Amino acid sequence: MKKKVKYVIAGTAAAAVTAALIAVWVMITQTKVSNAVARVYQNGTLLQTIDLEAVQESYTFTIEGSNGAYNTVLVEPGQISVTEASCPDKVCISQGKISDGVLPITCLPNGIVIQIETGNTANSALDGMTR
Amino acid sequence: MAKRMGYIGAFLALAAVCSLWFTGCGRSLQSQSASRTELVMSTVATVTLYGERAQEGVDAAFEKAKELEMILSAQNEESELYQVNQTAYERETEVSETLFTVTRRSLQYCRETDGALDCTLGKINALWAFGTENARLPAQEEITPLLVDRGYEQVQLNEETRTIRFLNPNIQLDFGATAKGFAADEMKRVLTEEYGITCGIINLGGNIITIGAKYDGQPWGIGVTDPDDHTRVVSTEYITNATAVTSGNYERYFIQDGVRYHHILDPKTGYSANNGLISTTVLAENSMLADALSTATYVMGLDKAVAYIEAMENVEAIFITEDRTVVKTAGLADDTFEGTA
Repeated sequence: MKKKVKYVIAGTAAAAVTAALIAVWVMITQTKVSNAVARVYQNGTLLQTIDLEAVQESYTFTIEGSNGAYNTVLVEPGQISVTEASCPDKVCISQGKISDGVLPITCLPNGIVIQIETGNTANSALDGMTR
Repeated sequence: MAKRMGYIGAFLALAAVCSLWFTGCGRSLQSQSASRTELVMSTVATVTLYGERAQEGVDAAFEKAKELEMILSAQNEESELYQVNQTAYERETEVSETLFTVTRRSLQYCRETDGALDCTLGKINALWAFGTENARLPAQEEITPLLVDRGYEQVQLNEETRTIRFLNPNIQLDFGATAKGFAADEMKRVLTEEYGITCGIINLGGNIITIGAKYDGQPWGIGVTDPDDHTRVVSTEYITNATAVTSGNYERYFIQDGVRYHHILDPKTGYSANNGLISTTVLAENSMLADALSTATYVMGLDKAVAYIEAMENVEAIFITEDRTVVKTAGLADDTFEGTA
């Protein structure tokens, strides 16, 4: 009987150690998942979904709006930006290159939003930016 | 043999349960999250929520914002405010409870800031049309006839009949400095009261409001954008159950003949405020208050603004001057701010 209790205690301890190892492994593999996916919207409609981690070579594309409005988007490995725009204030261009989900690129006059969703935002030092 | 298999089975089951406990505890909130970004209220909004009802909450929050846009927008011709602006000088105009509340509170902030904020610049704002493709520099002859000294004193409210009356034909209500804050507060109220959300962050065009602490119990890290490089921050504040609102000259503006014209108008001149500040961030519990104060303190200029905020309870601020000096009020010495609500 005593021997059985010992086995149970030893078994439980071993199970706990194994569990801790599994937990550490799960956490490490989870935090490694950080695929930055950019979603490009025009007036609320999703135009494109771009996996920025999969981008090998930089390229540009143009989003056309009404009355000749346009925004030229530069897609690079791991980051995205607007390089040219027809809007008067060019806020979208001055937002520069984004690579995380903290602050989306927006062009209000042309109704464009470029938002990055990362697999794991827990590592980002910031939860938001005021402006 | 069967006994041994039983032991192994029990061991594996125990290990599985324990590993769930190790990974799940404290992370359960984080594992159930929902987030969406949309253009609403003429700005970009991101709602990120944690917990069982996160997805429902995100949908409800955007629904609330859209509902309020149809009441409070000064530009949308379909909105209640737009309609009221067309008739309130001609006759007493009955309004919804929401519009009445926002008007009453906005006028109160105008009085409290001694006119640094004036929510009756609707006609002048329409001339500038900041943030639209029609943005332009109006001629002095267009602005001068529309300047009304303390225009907010020319709005008459009747609580009993819930009506609004303008006493001057040159004023129109524009809640550009309060509506987003009010909406952020309302979105938070719906989420906490109706959906039991205890953890989340709403970013309504740079107006940030947080619900509780982060999923890991830590405060939310909020960066104050560098006016010269929008991908960088000049300061990070750690807030819990509170709001942070910035007014800056770099958000809605245009440059003409080397001069930067931005959307924060000085009610005395009708032109962009130019009192030495380029960015003001206000931290408070209430987002409508923070929204109003970020605009008002921008117009006041540094010295007046610091004195004004220091005299208030549970409100702090960060100012960036033209020469890029960052000034924080005394309560932000440790860069933390906690709401009590």
